[in-house]
Amino acid sequence: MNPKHLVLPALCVGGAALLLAPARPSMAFSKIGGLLSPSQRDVRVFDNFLDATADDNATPSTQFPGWTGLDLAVWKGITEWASTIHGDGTGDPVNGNVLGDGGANFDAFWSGSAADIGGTNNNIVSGQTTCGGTGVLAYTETPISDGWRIRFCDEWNWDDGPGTIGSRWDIQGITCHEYGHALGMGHSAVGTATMAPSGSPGQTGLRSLATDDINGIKCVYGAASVIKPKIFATDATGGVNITISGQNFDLANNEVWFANSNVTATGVDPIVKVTGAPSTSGVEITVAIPADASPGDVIVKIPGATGSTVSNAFPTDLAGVFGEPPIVMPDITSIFPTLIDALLPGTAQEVVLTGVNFLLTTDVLVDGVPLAPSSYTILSNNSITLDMPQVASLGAHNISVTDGTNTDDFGVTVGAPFLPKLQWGNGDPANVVDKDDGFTILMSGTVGKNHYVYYSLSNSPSSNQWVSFDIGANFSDLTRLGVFAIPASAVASTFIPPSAIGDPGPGGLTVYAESLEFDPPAPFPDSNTQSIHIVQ
Amino acid sequence: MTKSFLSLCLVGALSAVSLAQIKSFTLEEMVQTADDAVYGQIVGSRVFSVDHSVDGKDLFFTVLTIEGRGMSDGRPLTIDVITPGGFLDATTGVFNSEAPAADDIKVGKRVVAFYRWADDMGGGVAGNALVAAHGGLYRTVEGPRGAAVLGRGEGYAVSANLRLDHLESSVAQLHAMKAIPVTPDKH
Repeated sequence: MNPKHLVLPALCVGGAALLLAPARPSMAFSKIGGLLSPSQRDVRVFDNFLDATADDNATPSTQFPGWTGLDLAVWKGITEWASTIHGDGTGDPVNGNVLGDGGANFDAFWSGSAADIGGTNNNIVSGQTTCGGTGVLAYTETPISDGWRIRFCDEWNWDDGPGTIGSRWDIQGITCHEYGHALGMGHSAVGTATMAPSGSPGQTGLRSLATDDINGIKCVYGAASVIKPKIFATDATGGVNITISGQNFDLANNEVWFANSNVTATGVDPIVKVTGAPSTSGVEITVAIPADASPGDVIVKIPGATGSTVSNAFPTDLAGVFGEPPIVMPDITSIFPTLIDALLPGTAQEVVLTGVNFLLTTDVLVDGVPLAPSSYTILSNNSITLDMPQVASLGAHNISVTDGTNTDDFGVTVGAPFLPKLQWGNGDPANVVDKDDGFTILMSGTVGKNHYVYYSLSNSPSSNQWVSFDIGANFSDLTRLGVFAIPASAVASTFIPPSAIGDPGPGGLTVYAESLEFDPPAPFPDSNTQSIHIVQ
Repeated sequence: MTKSFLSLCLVGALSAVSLAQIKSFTLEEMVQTADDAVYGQIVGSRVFSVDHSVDGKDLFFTVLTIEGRGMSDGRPLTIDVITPGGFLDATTGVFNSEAPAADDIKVGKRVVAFYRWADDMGGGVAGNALVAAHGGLYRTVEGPRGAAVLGRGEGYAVSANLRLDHLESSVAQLHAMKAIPVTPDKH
C-alpha cells in the first residue's frame, strides 16, 4: 500500500468538508463608503428597454396607484428599503413579502418618468443596449452622496412581473439589489441577502430584504429615529386638497412632496413640492393638490438636513383615502419616576408624564378617578406634571389622560419609600393651618415599622447617637406627638382635631416636625422636615 | 493519476458554486463563456469615458494590461481587459457596483482574469471584457508551493483558495472540451 494514496483522498474529503461548512451567520453586509444626502430621495425611470415583457404589466397595484409596467416594478423595488411598511404592505404577490422592511432613516421617493438616461448622479433607472454579454445583468454607478444611475443590461430578458416571470430576470428584485448599491451598500456574503452577488433567472426572492440587508442600511443611515415624521394615512377625497395624517410633523414649516405627472428633464429636481405647510398639532397637514402632481406617494419633509427629517412615503391616488387616520388623542409614552413613592410630601408636581397630544387633555386620572385640576399642569403638548395623590395600596396603578372621549392608561408602580416620609397639612413649607379646622398628618415608610413623630417650635438641629433631626434645638425643645405603625398601604394617617391644638396667638405660630423610623440598630433613619403655620 | 484525481475533486467542488448579480456561473460555464483566462501581473491601468447617443453619456471604463500566460495553454500573453467604471482623477468618474474592487486591480497585483471579446460593452466600446465583471477576476499570492488563487466565497466561480496549477489544469481541461463536437442525441 502506498501511503500517498491514503493521504490524497483524505485531503479531498477535508476540502469538501470545508466547502460544506455553513457560512458565518453574523453580519456580512459591506459598504462602499458614503450615503445619499436627504436631497437625493428621487427615483425616476427612462423606459428604453427593448423587451416587451419588461413593460407589459397592465394590472395596477392598489398601494402603488397611477403606474403600471416597468415604472411600477421599479417603484416597488425601491420601496422595499423604506423605513416602515408602505401603505398596507402589499405589492409582491409571489412571495407574500410585506414591502417596506428597511427600518432605517431612509425613504426613497418615486418621482415619475425621466426624459433621458441622464448623468451618473441624476437618479434615473434605464436600460443599456448591451453590457457586452459577459454576465453582468445590471449595475449602479455611484458618485454616492449626490446621486446615482442604474442601468439594466438589455441583452438579458427582463420581466416587470408582478407574478411569476418564467425564466426571465426580475426587474423588481434586481432594482431592489441595485438600489441598495445606490444607498451605499456593497455586496453581502450572506447567500439569502438581496445584496448577495448571486442571482438566477426566474428568481424573485431579491424583492424581499434579509436581516443582513436591514442591518446594512441601518448601519449606513441609522435606525429609524423616533422623531422621524411618519405618515399613517392620506385623504384626497374630492381631488382638490389632500389631508395627510401622521406624527412628528413640524408645526409651521413642512414640505409635502408629490410625484410628477410630467416627463421631466434629467438635470432637474423632479419632485413636485408644496413648501411652508403648517400642521395641526404636528399630526395633520392639509394642502391643495398641485397641478403637476401625480398619483403616487407623498412624503413630508420637516426642516433639517438629516435622514430623520424625511417621512416615509405613503400612497395617494389624489382622489381617495389610503390608510387609516389614527385617532388623535392624548397618549402617554412614559412616566417619571417609574417607581413612585407612596407619599410625596407637598404639592410640588414631581411626577412627569411624557407623550403626545396632551393639549387635548381634559382630565388626568389616577385609577380612574379624576384629579383636581390644581394638582396637575399641562406644560406642553408633550409634558404634564402632577402631584401624585396617595393610593389605597402598594403595587400597580394606572395614571390616565383623557380628551373626554378617548382615554389612554399608563401603568405605574407605587412603592414604600426608602426613607421615612412625613407630611403635615398639605406638606408645603410653612403651609397655613387654621386652628379651627385641624389638620392631617401622613407618614410613610417601611410597612410594619413604627414611626416616632416629633414636633418643635425650633428648627435648630438635634443630634445624638440615635438620631439626627433638623429641629428641636439640641433636644431642648422637642416633643413626641406619638408612635404610628406603617400599614400595608405604606401610608399612616392621623387627624389632629382643633381641640388638640393650643392657641397660636394673634400672630400665629410656626411648628416644625420630623419623624424617625424605629429600625435598629441606631442611628434611626429620619424623615424630611415639615412645618406648618397655625393661625387663629 | 494523483494529479488528475485532485483536479476532478476541485472541479466537482467548483461546479456547485454560483455567481453573480452578474448571472450565475459555474467554473465550467465561466470557461465556456470566456475566450480564455490569463494569469499574470497588472502592468498598466487607464480609465476612459465615452458619450453615446443611445447608451448615454459619461460611460467610464477601466483598461487593465495584464502580462503573463494564457491559462488554457500556458503561452506567454499580454492582454488588455476592460471592466466598467473607474476614475479619471479623484473626482471624475464613477464607482461601478459590479466592477472589481479598486485594491484588486492596482498595478503590480498578480491576478487570474477571465476575458471574452465583446463588440459592444455599452457605448460602442469593443474589447476584451472581464467576464462577469468582478466575478471574473481573482487575486493570487505566492506561496511555498507556488501561486495560490484567492477564492471569493460563496457565489463566486472560485469560492475557496486553491493552488494556481490546479485551477490551470481545470481550466485547460474545460477549455479543451469546448473544441469537442457534441454528438447529436440519437433519440
